[in-house]
Amino acid sequence: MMDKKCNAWEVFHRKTEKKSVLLEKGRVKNVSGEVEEGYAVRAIVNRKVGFAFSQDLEEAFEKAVKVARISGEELKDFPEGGWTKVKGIYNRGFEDITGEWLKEAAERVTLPCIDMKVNAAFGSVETERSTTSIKNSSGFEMERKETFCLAFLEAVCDDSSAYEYIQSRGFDVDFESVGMKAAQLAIQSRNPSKLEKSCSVVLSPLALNQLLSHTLYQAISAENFLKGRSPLRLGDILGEVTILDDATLDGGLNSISFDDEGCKPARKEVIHKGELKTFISDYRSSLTMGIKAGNSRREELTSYPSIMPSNVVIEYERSSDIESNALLVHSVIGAHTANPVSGDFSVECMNAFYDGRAVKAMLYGNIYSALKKVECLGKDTKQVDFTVSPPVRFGEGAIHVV
Amino acid sequence: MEFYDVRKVESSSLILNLENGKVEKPRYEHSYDKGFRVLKNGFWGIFSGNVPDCEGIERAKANAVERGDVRLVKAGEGGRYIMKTKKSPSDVSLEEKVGLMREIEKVLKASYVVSTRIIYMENVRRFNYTDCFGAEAYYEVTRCGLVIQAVGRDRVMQFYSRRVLKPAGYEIFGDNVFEIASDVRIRLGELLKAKLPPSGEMNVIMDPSLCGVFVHEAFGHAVEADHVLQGATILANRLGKRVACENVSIHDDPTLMEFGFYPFDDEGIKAERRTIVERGILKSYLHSRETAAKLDGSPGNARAQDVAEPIVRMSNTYMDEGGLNFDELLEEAKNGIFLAGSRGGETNPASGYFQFNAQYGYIIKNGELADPVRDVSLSGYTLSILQNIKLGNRIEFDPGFCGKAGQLVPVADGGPHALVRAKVGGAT
Repeated sequence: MMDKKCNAWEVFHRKTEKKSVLLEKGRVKNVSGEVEEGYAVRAIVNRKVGFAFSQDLEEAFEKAVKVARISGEELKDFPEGGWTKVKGIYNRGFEDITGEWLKEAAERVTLPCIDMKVNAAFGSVETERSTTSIKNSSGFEMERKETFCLAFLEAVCDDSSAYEYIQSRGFDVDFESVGMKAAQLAIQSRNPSKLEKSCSVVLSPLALNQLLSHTLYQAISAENFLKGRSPLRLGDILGEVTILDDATLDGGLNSISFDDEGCKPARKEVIHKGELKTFISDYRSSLTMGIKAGNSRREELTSYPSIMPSNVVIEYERSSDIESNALLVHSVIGAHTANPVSGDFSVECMNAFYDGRAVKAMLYGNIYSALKKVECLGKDTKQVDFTVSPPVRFGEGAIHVV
Repeated sequence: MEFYDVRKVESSSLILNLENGKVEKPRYEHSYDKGFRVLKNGFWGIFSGNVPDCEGIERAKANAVERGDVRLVKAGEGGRYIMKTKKSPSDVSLEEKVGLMREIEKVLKASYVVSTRIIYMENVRRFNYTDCFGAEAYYEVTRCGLVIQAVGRDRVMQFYSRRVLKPAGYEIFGDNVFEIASDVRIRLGELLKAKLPPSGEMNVIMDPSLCGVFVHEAFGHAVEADHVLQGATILANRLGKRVACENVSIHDDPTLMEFGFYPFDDEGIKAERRTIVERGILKSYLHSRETAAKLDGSPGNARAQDVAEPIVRMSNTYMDEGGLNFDELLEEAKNGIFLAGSRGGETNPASGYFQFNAQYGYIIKNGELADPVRDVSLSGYTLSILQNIKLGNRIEFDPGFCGKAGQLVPVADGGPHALVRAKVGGAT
């Protein structure tokens, strides 16, 4: 039926089962479950691509064909596709998670807060199990299974608060450490004083991810480059760091065996020793630029596939002493207000410390200028959302402090 | 069990992007989902999924694994509301919608514009609520909108965007959208020539858009009663006390026909205007049925994205106008900065610190606007700002989507021009 109404088609189907527990003021507030399922169809009619989502496959197909007639998005066909073996992204144990298990996990998150007399104000333990399949008229037909676990807590102590979270593809989540870190930060962040000096700045993996997600990760998108929305060009020099996008990382939060268009994911050196070598790309932009595809993702089941980073690994010289005479920033407020086309940002520190004392400060600068002044990385690597990195130390003047 | 309710939400959307002359990623979306809550032993068990009602209630009940202290205020009377539009978007062809976007795109063209994007969106939400005591509420609401963006390149790259988003039909697209596109083009040209902003604490005049973001981000989130119960807001235990100077009154009104409009909340309660601050005194928090029972308030502010758990949210939140015109505010400020347009913001209700970013600004020198500035943000401590604020005499609303606990809902923020003292920082 599909072949008669369009020249090419793609059916994306995902079934996700979520189970989670919510915490409020140190107590378990509710346990919830969710089952989400549906079809996202893309159809090519006379080289024009249309998209529709519905829980009914036939309706999704008909509407995708209908909207294709006004589309300017051109494709001759969908990818023949490819896949790669990725380890550590599915754990069978997630099939048996119960409300009782979630409740106990949540209680372990709050335990350190009780011991430290800190308010475990708001938190959650969330688990997710999904099966994704793609079938298209070019002959690609594959299915992948994934699991995901998140533990989150915001702790409040007097007039200060802090949050921490850990994500994993399996059960290797140290629930107590989430509560411990949030509680410690909330206690340490009390009575902040102004910092009125220029200094080096150390961004935690969390703060780094916040800033890069709204600046660099937008700028290395092939689509943004092609549409004039990226300030970066191939060959641009951004200091000396190396930045990889690696969708094949064992156990990576964003590792996948095939991307959301059916393309083979890859390990790409986007920036090699400071030089921009390539962009991350979906299938269509890869055809235009002659680069590898594999970075097409759908933020939600209903979303149009678009270019997103996978696991972004930051590499540079490591040092065991990155904290001396530096402002240490755990997280910031307002990172999403950064200017994605210029890289300029100005944010407020949420939990920041200098010489052992809590400080309040606004940070501002330009992410591309700041990357040129990275001094060193710390020792302990952690993945937060897209970013896989130890803390990063930026030299004095790279990020301004007021 | 003590209580259960069932929500059924049908949502139909069309989203079109016109990017640099091409319609990109045209998208239809149609979904029908069910959400179930069961209250058993004072504890919520929740489930969402497309299953028969009996099964959904049983699966929610199976999640009520603990004992809790949840109780609810009485349900509303329910009711029915169907929005009447003057021109239903479903009566307008795809080609006509694209034609409008192309006409708008023409207005954006200039030598310095390197990229343009116009996003058209329409959505119809059909909401059905029932509970175990027989309460029923139903509504159909249509929302339409356009986002108009342009990127410019000169010595620097800049972007500027404006939005028209309303609970209305296709009739909202008149000459206004071309005027807005023209403003985007002109403002972008100015931004490319704008200077770097100064840094430090100074007198700041916020335009109505930014004042609205301040009201929403810095104050509105702090009066959401779930934050109060979590002990995570600076406004806990402050009811009846002074939290702002006498010229400040703040309201949340879901009945206004702005983007945050809803006739019933996601617990089936009829929407009502709520005065949060009256002449500087904190009068009320925003409530769900659960928080209202615990804090002796009135419900009606529980909202959900699709059929997620309803949580306390804002709708159309605004600060009343004062008596000063813009020139008088400039004169009061003397020296400082005028900031306009919002690129979003964020707050931490527990500490009271906020940050938000303006789309552009001007230096104020000797009571007059001087050089334009770009990439400038504002931060501060909410309650300090509100102790000394001078207000303009005309309110405007700005629409957007508010995120909380992973859920997005449509909102609008409003206010007049406002003169405050705050910390400013920006690009290098």
